[in-house]
Amino acid sequence: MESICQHNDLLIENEGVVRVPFLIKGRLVLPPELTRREIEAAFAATPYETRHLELADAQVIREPIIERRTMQRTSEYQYQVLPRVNPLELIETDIDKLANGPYTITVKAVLDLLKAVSDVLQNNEVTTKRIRDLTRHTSDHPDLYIDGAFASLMYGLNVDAARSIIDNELAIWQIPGRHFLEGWVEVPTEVMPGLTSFLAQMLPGISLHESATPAFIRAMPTRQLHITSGNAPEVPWISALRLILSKSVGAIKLPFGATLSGAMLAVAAMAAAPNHPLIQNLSIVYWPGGDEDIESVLCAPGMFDRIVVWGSPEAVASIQARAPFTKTICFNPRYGVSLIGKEAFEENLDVVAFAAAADVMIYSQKACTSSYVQYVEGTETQVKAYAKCLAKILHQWDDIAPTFVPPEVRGQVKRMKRGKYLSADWLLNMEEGEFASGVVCMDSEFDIRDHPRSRLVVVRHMASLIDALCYLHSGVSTVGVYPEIRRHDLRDLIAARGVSNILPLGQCERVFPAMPHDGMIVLAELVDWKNG
Amino acid sequence: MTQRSISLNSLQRQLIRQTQAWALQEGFDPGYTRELRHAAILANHARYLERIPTYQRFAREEAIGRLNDIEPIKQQLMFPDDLFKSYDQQWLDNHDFSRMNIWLSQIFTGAANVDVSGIETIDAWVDRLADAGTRIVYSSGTSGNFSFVPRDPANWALFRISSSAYLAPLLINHRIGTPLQRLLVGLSCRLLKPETFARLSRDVGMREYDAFFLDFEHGRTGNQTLEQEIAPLFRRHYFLYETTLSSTVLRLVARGWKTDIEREQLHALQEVVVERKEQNYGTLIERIQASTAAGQKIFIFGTTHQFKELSDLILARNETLAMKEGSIILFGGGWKSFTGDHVSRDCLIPLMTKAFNLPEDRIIEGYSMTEINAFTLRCNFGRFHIPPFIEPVIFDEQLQVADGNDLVGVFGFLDALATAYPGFIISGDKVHFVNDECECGLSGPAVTKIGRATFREVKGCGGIMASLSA
Repeated sequence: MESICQHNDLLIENEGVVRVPFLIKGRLVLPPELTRREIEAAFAATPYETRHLELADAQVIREPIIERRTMQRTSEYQYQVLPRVNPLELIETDIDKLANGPYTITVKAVLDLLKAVSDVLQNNEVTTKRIRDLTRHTSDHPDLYIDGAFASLMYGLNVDAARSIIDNELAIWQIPGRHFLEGWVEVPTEVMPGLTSFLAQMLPGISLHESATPAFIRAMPTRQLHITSGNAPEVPWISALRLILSKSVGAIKLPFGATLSGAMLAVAAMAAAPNHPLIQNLSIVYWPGGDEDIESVLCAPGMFDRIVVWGSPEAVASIQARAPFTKTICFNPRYGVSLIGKEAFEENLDVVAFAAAADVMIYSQKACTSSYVQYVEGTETQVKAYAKCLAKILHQWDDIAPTFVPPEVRGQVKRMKRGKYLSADWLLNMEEGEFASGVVCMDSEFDIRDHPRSRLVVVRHMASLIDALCYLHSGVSTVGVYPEIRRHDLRDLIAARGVSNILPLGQCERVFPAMPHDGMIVLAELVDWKNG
Repeated sequence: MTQRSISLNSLQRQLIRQTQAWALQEGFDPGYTRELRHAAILANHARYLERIPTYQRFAREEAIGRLNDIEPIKQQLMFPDDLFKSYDQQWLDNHDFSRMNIWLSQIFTGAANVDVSGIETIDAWVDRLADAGTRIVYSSGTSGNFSFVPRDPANWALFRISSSAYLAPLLINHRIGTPLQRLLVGLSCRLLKPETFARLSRDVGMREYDAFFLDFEHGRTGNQTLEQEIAPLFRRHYFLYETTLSSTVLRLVARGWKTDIEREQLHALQEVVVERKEQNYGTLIERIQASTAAGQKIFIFGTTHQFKELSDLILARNETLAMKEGSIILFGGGWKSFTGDHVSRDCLIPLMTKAFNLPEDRIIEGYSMTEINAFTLRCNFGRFHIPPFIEPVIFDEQLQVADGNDLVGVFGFLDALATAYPGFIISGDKVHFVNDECECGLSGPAVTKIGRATFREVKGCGGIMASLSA
């Protein structure tokens, strides 16, 4: 892996410029050579907020460098030079080739591929650390989170976990999923031949058959397009893993902000198993989301069997509108909340607030499971005491994991404080006079669209947790509840309102192989279930 | 009337005169106008300090008292536009209008202490306030949370006078007037006081025009208020929907229904705006044709998405409207609906010129908001010129004041005519701001591209009408 990078000058910073390759169906596609001077001259002719442009045969991404000690933007930029994308190269229309090629491989071959990629990454620590450091230069996330995210990427390649995902997510008839993924599986059922077969027996002449042939089911791999989001660095990897585990082919569109970790996977795959049938049919690329010229081609009928969209409401709506005839799996923008029962005030409030803060801090509220609003049952005085406690713990988080707070977030907090929520109690942690994190305590309704999604918790005083149920709906992904007895009492009522995860307070980030995601068993959605 | 309010009133009238001169490009003195504007803003600051509790609170927090410079206001005492929705939505859900009274009094120079017994709807509350002299104009956003902007009789009168006094010369001098009309308007502006000019303009009216409003006949949104004001100027006027858009139902559109009665109300609205849409447009087209046949010029006012719909409908019928020369279209309300549908200017204007058979310069785009006492018009060179009684302030994303004459940022303003509510506002619009001479002849600050700032919902009359039509 490192030799590929060194030989082609890839994923190495040179005068603030990083060359980023694409994987296109088993080929590593390199970007053209561009000097920093050429790049700067091109950006000089564009508005200052321009982050992406096309230059010669390249795409160039410009990201402001964030000084890690202060977590403030500097006036310096890190540039990435990437190849251009030809959407037609990402599409596979030779179905016979797929049916006779990657779709025929064994699950063992899939798991071997994961093992090979994992080994390459583990044996190339210099490369992975360098890419992690390059990611750190421009990431909004604290270094602690980036380090943790890169470490967790390896976990995603764990063979035992992968086997468990296949066997459980694709299991039907109490038969492990690997069998359905590898071929036709006879299921022990009684087949009803259908009304017409029955009626046909009344006709003179040849009878159809005495009894129906046995039932066979197969989980057929598919051609998949994954349009991923950049709110957490693992997202493109999760999508790629699902594509591979479903033995499928297709393309991963990397998001702005996670191109380097995505390219790392591309290079590792090429170093590990360039001739593997799945790598020969996998593409990992980037284009600016919403690019009409590219997405209209990819979303045309028949180009893919599945489109997976993560991200903003605009991204999801745009793809759904363009691909009306392709099965689209959407991971809509959602958010988490917490329900804290009055028992919190009979016990150690610090411990409860500590757990609640952990749910807030899931990617500093960039993740769709992190807690935005906390409904707290108690007297007004108790709820204010809780808010104070929570603000103090968030301040401690600011100390150990300072994050970049975008200017628009600071602007939004100012707006909220002096606008719609001017009557609320504001407990803000400030860093050099500007918002870093905080709690806003209010009795009135909160419009979730106002939330700045950066370490701000809305605490709402509730006479009873039951009163909070009216604020739960399918836009809420996760509810963390305290204490456990209340969680068990409320779990069905919460779930019935469209919430996907009802978990103990402080444990809302937990994952396990084959867990449902946004109400779906995703691998089962990605394959095409066949009768044959 | 106190000495200070006489003084403020006098400053404002002089400002309006200067705004007329600016519109006519005759005798406008930018330096003098700047002094007047700043003096009026400082007088308003003193007035708010004395009479508006919320303003008092924030001034106290910022340790600001009386001022002789507007800079501290720009830096520390401007309010986001959703100050006007800083009430609890549950008060409206529960028809608790006594709490709404208390809230309104916190952001208003007057006391909103009307009797609310028996009031169950927003419209009834607004009507009760109007009976007591307080005019409420509201707008709504994607969320269905209304902004309520209060004006007392003096502020309302000022708003009406200023609008008539400078918009008529602006339109006639720059866009639609004949040489004779320009001469007459110029003379009138020089000879008459603004209030007399405004009254005369209303009396004379635009009788050679019939007006068509792509809106509901009754209601209290910003556009509806404007329409109800200008409708009597025309020989005849018609509305697309000859019914009421009540605030209660408008709120249901965004927030959804909870009771059977609410479901019925929403259904009734959908019947008008969805099921009978083509029929309503058809009637309007027939009336435009009838007015044209009667020799009348046509004035049509509506929102971006409605003109797109109407143009599509006309062209789908293989028709164009052969309106009399001199007819005008005025539109606005933004390019994006609540549902995210986007119409581009490059697409809409050619469509409108074709459907209505009008040259592009007779299709005029306006830009305003309920929180400002000004209405700006896009000139032929793509600029919405800001009248000189407004001090624009541009903010960066962090809401820090930005300096310069060519900026992209969040649009804010100090409105010298806002006497009844805090008129130092940070809008939700992100604009390209310029401040120089324009090729159209007007000078001073202007905005070009207008979009929504980060985190700000689509709002306003354009969004409302587009969403009702969706």
